[in-house]
Amino acid sequence: MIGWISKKVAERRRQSGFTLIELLVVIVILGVLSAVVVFAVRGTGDKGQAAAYLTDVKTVRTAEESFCARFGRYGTEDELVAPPDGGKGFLSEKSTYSDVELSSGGTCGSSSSPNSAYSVRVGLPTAVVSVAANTDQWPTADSATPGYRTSYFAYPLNANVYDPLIIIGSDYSLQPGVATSWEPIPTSVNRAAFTSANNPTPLPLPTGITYTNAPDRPYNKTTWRFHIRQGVKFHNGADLTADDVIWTWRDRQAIMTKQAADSSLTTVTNTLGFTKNGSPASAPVVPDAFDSVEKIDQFTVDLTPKTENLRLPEQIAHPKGAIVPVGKHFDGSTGGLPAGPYNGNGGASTALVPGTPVGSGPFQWMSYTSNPDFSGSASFAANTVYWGVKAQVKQMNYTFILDPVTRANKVLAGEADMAIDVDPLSVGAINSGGGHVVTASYGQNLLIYINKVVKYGPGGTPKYDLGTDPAVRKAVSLAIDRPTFVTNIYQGNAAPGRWMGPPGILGTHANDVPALAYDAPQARTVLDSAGWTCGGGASGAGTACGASEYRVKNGGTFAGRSLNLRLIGNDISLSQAGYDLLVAEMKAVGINLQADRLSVTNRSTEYTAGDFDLDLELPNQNDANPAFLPTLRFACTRTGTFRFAPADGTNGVGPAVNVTKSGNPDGTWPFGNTPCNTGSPNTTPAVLGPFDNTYVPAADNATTQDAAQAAAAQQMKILVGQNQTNVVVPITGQFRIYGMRSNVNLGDPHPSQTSQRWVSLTKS
Amino acid sequence: MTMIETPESVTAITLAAATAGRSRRRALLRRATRDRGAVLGAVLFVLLVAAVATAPLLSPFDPTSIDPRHALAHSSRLHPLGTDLLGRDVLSRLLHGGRTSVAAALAAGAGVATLGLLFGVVAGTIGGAVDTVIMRLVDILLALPLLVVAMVAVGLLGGGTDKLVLTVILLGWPVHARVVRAVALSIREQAFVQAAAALGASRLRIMLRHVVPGVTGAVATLTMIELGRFVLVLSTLSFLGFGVRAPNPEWGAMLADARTSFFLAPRLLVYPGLAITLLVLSVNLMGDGLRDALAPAD
Amino acid sequence: MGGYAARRLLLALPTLLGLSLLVFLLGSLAGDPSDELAARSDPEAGVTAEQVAAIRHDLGLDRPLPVRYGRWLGRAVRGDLGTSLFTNRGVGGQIADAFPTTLVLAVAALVLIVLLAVPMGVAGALFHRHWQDQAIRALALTGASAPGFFLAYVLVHVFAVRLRLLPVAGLSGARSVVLPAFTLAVGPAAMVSRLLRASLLEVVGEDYIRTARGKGLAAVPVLVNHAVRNAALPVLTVVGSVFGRMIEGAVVIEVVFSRPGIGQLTYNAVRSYDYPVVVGTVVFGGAMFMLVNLLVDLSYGLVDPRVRLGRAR
Repeated sequence: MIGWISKKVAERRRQSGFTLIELLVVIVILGVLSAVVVFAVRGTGDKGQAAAYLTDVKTVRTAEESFCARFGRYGTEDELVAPPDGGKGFLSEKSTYSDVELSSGGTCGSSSSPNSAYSVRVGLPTAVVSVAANTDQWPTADSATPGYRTSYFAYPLNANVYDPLIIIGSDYSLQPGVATSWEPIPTSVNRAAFTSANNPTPLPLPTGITYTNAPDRPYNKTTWRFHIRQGVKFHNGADLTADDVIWTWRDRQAIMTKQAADSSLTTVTNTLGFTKNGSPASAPVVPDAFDSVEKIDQFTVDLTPKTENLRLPEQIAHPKGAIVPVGKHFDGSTGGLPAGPYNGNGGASTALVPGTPVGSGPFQWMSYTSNPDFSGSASFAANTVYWGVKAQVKQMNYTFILDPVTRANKVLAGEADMAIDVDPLSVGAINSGGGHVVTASYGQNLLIYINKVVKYGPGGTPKYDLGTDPAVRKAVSLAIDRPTFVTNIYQGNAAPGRWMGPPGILGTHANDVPALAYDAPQARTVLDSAGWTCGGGASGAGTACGASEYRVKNGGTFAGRSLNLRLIGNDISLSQAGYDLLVAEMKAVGINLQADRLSVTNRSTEYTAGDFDLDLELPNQNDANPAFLPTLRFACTRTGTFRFAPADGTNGVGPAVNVTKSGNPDGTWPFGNTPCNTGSPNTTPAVLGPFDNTYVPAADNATTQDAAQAAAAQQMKILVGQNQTNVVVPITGQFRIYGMRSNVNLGDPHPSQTSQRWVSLTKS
Repeated sequence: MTMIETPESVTAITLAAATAGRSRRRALLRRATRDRGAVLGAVLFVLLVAAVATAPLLSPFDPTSIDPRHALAHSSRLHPLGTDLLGRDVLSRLLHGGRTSVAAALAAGAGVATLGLLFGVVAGTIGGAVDTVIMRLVDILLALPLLVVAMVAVGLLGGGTDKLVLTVILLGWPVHARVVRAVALSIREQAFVQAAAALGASRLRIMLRHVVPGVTGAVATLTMIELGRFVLVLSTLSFLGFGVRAPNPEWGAMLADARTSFFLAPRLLVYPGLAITLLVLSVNLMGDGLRDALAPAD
Repeated sequence: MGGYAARRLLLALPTLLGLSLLVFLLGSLAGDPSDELAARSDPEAGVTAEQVAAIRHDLGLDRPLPVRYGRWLGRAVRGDLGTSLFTNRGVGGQIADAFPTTLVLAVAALVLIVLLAVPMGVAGALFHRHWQDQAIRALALTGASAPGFFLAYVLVHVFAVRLRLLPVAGLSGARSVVLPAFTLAVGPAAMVSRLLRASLLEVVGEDYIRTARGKGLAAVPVLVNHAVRNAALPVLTVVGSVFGRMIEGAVVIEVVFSRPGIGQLTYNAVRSYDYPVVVGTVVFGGAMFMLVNLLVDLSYGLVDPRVRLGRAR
């Protein structure tokens, strides 16, 4: 028996040993075979692709030469499809694989080949770029509030997946996006008359989906007409038409309505991103930004804002105005939002169904892993049939990392091709570590707002009131050594602060705003002559105070008060060293600055409470409205009783003013910057106090972007100018820094990261 | 990483120390002083404390005075440890920063020892319902992650070294209390205390005459062991942005600030990192020496 | 043993309740996130008093504290820890999502602690009072004295940026856990090695070892059967404590290494005043600590038969 068992065991052992060897051989053979097959197939695939590229380029070149023969010049790809004379196209449709880029100078029909007058960019891109990105705020269909965390913060990805009607160029010019052109239909023209009498061939009424307009729609304001680009395809293959544009704005509007109606959604950013004043729960909110959104024909849409708004094209030139296909929300979800007229409260909503975001932009959404701690990842693929300039990389894979040093480390360690928002202090390491940086100049401003609203402590003691003294404001502005900030804090990767926004937003009028001087002796003189003397003694005509001595008012309004100012700011806007530098510079002119570098949350709380003299911020300019930043902190956003410094800039505290919103019935800032009703024409109550806002209405009412820029420049001059009010003190203009490996490059970085499109990104 | 001491292990060790009796405790101390590591730790600790205590005298510069034109300077006779991004003298900043770090840790240690002694003695001597309540509270507080709760407390209530220390004290005493209670219980059972009770000595008297002197050794040993942990917790919190506010430099905060300039000047990160390590090492060496002295190895 | 476990679990309930009350109180002391929430609803604009009031009402912050705690507790016992103020996701879900990352880190750290501490501890005991013992001690103590964030930066710079051996940060496969786990393990490993060494020395000195030796048993089985088993007790305690306090240890590590675990979750929640998440994570951390301690206590009996469970400690 035992013998039999041991025999069996031995047999099994032998057998299994044999099979094992056999198995190994089979695996090796299979492995080799599969490798061969994979390589062979891939080879043919590539060959097939390459042949297709060549054919495509040949076709485009032939078409260009024919175009040249007829028109005496080379044409754009659009012109090759639809020639300017309306004749038959040279191409039946736009090339799938190639982009035509025209350059000036070359002559049509010259024998040199390829002709330098145009180039055909060939082939599907193959590079996959890994990106260490800063913020993970891609919207996802979310269990608690599906569809409501929609577009606003999805930087910088939304600008790549979606197309807005109008794209902001890197110089803040308005460039055609989904809309090829747009024009205002003036206030004075009756709309009905316009469509029938002024227009020889009345446009057909909307077909397909129709939407009810507000019955009482008053046509007493400018309607904006947008002509939609033809031939734009969504990533799902559907054509983009007026219906999608209508749906998009209706969807945004419905979300706002829903948001206003449902108080549990108060924490949610409205999708338009246009601020609504008033509380959803207690105030009669008019959620609509638009009176009407109307389809004129398949490729024409009219938008009529609720209040007169000549800055509309500049405001919607923002990725948050991106067009989604009918039935989809920005986050890719479907269903859910209330149907109904634009003017009413929405109907019932149903549950949203999570889905894939679909846009028409240069990249299409592939995958996204959400993480509440901002450490998810996302992938985007190039849209090979994009209507505009196509992406030059095949795919972008994002990893979201909050810490800038870790992002730089990722590039240095070769784990990422590119890092977004590299710390200025890491630039040297990337440059010397086999990589390079690309900077977008002056996109953000580090600046100080000076509080002119007087807060009253217990017993009616005024607090944080020294900002009402023009001498103090002027001294603060003069005391800041901007070049030192640039050199020491930013290691050269910034510019001395001068404007409130990026200079590009002011176009040709940027130089209307004077450069700011650093002049500590002048600051001391200003303070001395205003009675702020070292230790409160006699005026010393600009002498520096002792080592631990600060200024005290020797008479007049703030008699006996020490020159103690409190600055608040968050820890993202500026490093601790930056705060320390501010303290040291203020000390040099005798100002005792308490600089509190707080968390974003704590700073926000202190700001809302008004417990500060100086507020340090790093505001963005993300749309193309030049009046945006001058208005931002000075809009009517608070109610209650306040005392302000007189608007004429003189010293002292004005009368108590009751601030209500009654003067602003629809509360739709910035749709018409109607000031709040204060009972006093001279004061514009605001978070930070009144200012001479002569030019804001001028910018609002300008009919051209240029005129608006001119007015905004004048307004900035008043706000920042040293001989004016000095309520805004720019410190530096920030550069956005992209760090990348040497084989990666980014052309034309956008000063506004929101609008950064990755079509100029290359990887070799 | 934050050195994690367990209450249980510490209890065992210090219990041995406390119940060892006076003569044995002296022997322990002798043995600890024979341990070169412990002596080195003590010397290091004294030197560090002395250096930061006399910072205003030792510092070549005002730690907040800037000199932007001489930023990121290397070591020189003028600036022995170089200068930072704003041209401030790093040595002066380290010396002044250490004042905050050391003072905060010592304050936390003293506070924890006091509270722990108080609650432990009360629980151990009075017993009954008071004991139960205190020990339940101890259980709750021990289950709370100190670093996280301190972060919550300081993060939500607003920063500042004082609040940070207060939080550490309020959360840190249970380890001490548990040990002290155990020691107090064992002392209470001893014959001379029983005799004193039989002679009609009041509880308070027993507590003051017998229990408190009996547990001081345990408390001192435990405090030494815990001190290193407090330094690390406090510097970690300041590193995470909770705690000391500018313009006072503090080692954890200095290290956090040097993070972005690491590529430009790694020394700005290394110096405060080494300073914290040295301080903790000195305390740990002493604690370890005591622990080794307790081990009945020979 | 089962009865003991049940009794311990029952005893844990009031502790957990007290803990939650304490954390809840702390959260409420912190004040009111309504202002911040209102401001956050649109960062490019200001805030009105009405908006703040509406949000306060929505959050139930206009009610008295006992009512709020009662409501929270009522939901918590049903497994609903509330909703994050900023992500609008369930706190329970967020913890469940983050926990595996932290668990992986803790387990990896635990493995490293054992791998580092056992050789160091045994060697320390073997070379007792020799230079090897002193060298190990110096190394262990220095490692344990370095703050984790400092150690992490140095390790990242050397192993990730310079040598490119391991990933810088994030979650990218098993390799990405090595540096964070090592950073987390260094301190406890030093501690465990010291304890192990002390225990080994103590046990080796005990009578029964001598007895066993006297009976003629070989040295290795003696060490295995008696010494290591006995030494395992304090070591188990430390290891249990490390595991129970992994959330505490994980905060800095996860922040520095960009790992989306519970520590990172808590840190972000504290920074953004997201108190439902803060309360949830701290209570979860406390519960974990108690559970691990219970398991450690139960396993004492398995490791050392002298330990009889069921008696008051």
